[in-house]
Amino acid sequence: MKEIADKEENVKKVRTDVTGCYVIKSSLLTIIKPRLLLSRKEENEKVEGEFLLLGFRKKLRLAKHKEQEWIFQCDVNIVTIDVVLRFTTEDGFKGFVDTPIGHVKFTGKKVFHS
Amino acid sequence: MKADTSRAFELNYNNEEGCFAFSLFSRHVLGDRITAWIGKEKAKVEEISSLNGQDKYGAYAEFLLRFVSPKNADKRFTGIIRSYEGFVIFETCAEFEIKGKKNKNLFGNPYISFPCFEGEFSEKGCSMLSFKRQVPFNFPVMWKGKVIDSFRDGKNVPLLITDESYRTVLLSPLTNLLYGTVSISSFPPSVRCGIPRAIKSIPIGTGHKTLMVYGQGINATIDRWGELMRRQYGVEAVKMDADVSLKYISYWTNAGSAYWYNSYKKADYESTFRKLRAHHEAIGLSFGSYQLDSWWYKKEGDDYTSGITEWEPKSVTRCKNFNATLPFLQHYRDLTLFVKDKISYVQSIINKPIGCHFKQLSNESVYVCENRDDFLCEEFPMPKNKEVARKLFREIFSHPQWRLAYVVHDWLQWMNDRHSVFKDYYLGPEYFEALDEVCREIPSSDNACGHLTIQLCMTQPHMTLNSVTMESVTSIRSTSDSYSFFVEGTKRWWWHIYSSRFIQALGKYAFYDNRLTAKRHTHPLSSWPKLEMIWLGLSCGPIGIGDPIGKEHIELIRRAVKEDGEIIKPDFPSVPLDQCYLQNPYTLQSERGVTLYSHSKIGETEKNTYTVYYLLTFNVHPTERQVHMAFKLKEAGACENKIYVLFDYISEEACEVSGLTVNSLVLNRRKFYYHIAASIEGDIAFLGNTAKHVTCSRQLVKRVAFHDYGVSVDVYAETTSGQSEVGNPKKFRRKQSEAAPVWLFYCRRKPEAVIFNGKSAEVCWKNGILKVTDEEVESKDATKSHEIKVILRNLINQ
Repeated sequence: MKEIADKEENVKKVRTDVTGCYVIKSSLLTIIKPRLLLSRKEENEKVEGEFLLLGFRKKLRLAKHKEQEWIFQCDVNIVTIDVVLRFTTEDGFKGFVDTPIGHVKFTGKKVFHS
Repeated sequence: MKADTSRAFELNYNNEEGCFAFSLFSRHVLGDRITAWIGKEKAKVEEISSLNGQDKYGAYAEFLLRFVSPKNADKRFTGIIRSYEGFVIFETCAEFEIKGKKNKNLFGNPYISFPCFEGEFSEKGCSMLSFKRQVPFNFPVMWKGKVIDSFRDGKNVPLLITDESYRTVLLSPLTNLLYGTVSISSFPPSVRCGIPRAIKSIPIGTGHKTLMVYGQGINATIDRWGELMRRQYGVEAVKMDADVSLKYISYWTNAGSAYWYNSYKKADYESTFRKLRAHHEAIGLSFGSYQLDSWWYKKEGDDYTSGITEWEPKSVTRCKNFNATLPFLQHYRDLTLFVKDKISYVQSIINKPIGCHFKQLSNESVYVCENRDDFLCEEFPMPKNKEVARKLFREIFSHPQWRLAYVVHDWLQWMNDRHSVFKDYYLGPEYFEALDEVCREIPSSDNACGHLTIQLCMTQPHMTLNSVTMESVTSIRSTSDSYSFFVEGTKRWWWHIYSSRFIQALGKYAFYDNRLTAKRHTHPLSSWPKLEMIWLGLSCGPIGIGDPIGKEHIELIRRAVKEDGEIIKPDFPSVPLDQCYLQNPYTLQSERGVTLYSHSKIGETEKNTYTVYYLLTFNVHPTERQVHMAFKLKEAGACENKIYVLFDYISEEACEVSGLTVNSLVLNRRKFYYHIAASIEGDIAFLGNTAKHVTCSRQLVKRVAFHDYGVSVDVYAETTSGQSEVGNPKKFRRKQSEAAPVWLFYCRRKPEAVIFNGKSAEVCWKNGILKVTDEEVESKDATKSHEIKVILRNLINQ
């Protein structure tokens, strides 16, 4: 029972502290593995995201956070792209990019704590 | 509740918990209880009463409830549940003003949530269809499982839930269509209906209604929902020939077409239009109207988001290419438009009705500069009230010297996201009301409805829903811009299948955007004109052609239209079979194709009608790998105890099937089937004119009568357009003869005689198929009809 309680506590801990670097896996990107960096500049500030693919970087701003769901946004030209992350496991998340022409699913696994 | 005789909707008030226990079809597809919320607090029931009554929707049973917030006694609202036969209307009336919050978005949860469906949600066999909330063009979202397993929290309007037995429920706002929401929430799992708090202020006494329609059959329930929506606003479904873009094929110069910010052989737009008109006349292709896109009017700068400074023709525009696959190869140049920048001059060149692009104004526009106080100037200006909006639209759209038949109002999603008017309870809807009223005021002799009409473009789902209140809206763009890199091919097909269904149910027609009909496209993901032209005819919406001069696939276009350019249509826009809603066909795991169907009923009375069914089956797998499809004619409305001939339009093979026969098809890449099905009456069936896609349209066939000797059919003669032989290139002359009518019959044995207009014709019968060609191609009068008699048994000899 104690083990289960500890595990639940750990999940809760990860959910509240989502900062870190995650490797992203998607069926669209089989060779290159992009990274998502979630960080806070200061202790009580909002989490910010940064998407890294080879030399390309895209900043993500936090739009909404409720329970284990974190929604980030970025703008590409006149289009707002939402990145929805659900931290359902201890060391990773399931998510999708919500574009005007559909959803692109992906998963993320934490590589180290920032 | 008593009004529901089928007992599919069960609702019982639970006094202890203060909520309703609820089930649909004895299942919990939408949770197992109905509650009410005010903000983050579950509302308490203060009073409850019930009664039975009757109104414009029929007999109903009603629960009337008074709710109060447990934390603030000033926050109260009245809730009403009215159950009718096959549908329920939920109503709220707030007794306090709801002040908006800046950080809330229009697609979030409502502040007063009633009904709020909660508790246990069924999963088994449930399929959902909704539309992406925040993007243009009503992008469909389909998922399986529980309704609360939606990809995204927030607005899902309309929300369709169905199970494997096609028991269907559809949920949407009935009033406040621009703002009302059906919101899916994951924390806690619930489906909430109401008005979101992103609206600036919701006044005291504001009423809001939510409609829940349920029934057997997915298409039947969607149609019922659309009919109730129209009844609420006292509007009729748009007629198939309401405006010139719906009645005739049209030429488009918008994104994806040949002359979008581009001209013929680098000349100016004026000579391009002169050449286009001369070319279309020479090849005998009659376009009902020409569409002028955003290149023609005066804008603030060259950016594609820039607003209108004056809705008048300009002299020069910048040539550009937004859809370029290789942006670094783009080059820009100035492009001369017209010698005289006067509307009357432009009209004299085109000499046909025109449809013009419209979008948001610029803050520096002449209309705003005249009376800046009348506008709310933010990123772009919006009229301050309905009267100003009316005055603006009257000034813009009324021109005595041109034949403006329809306006394409574009960029609606962009406008919605960027102006506070679309967060105002009154101003947002008033903008659309004023637009509708003015368009209905402005006469247009080219449109059968008699007034100017609107096509909406880049609508978000709530704007599409709101169009039901706008009588002047005849069509709505269903998909993204033509030939956008990531959208062509199966994705666009899948998108159009489901978004057009939403548009059709509201009594409007879906516009698929312009098409290039040439066989070869340079675009790697190009769509397939051969399939699309059949589908567009069956869709009953506008058909827009964007081909460059001399590249048209004339034979293909002629199959969709009559000689005068009138689009040949079936009785109703084609819809997917019910089974096509059960899974998303556009997924990598998908193993099923899609079948769309429609029909034509020939004959005045129910007893003497003859029905011909059209079934279009194709592959929408993202990579177009092999998929399967199986259907029974019964699914398309055919009788199960009749025998039909199923004619393959492409291979011209026929077979006999019953209404219950399972027709299995294998769909490889780029493989599609177009079947015509007609009942066999006494060894013979009539399939119509196979020179056209909609073979047995009421526009082609007047009467079908079966007799002891065989069948007699009255068919309409075609009119010829007045093209000159001199300017008619040889290759097009040959194609014209290919468009001659070929009347097709299925006969179990060789007919003894065929009589065409009283004269004996050649009997051309092979493998059950009898072809009768119209020998008198040259003598045309559209009002006249020809009679074809097929004699199977010569009764005189017997």
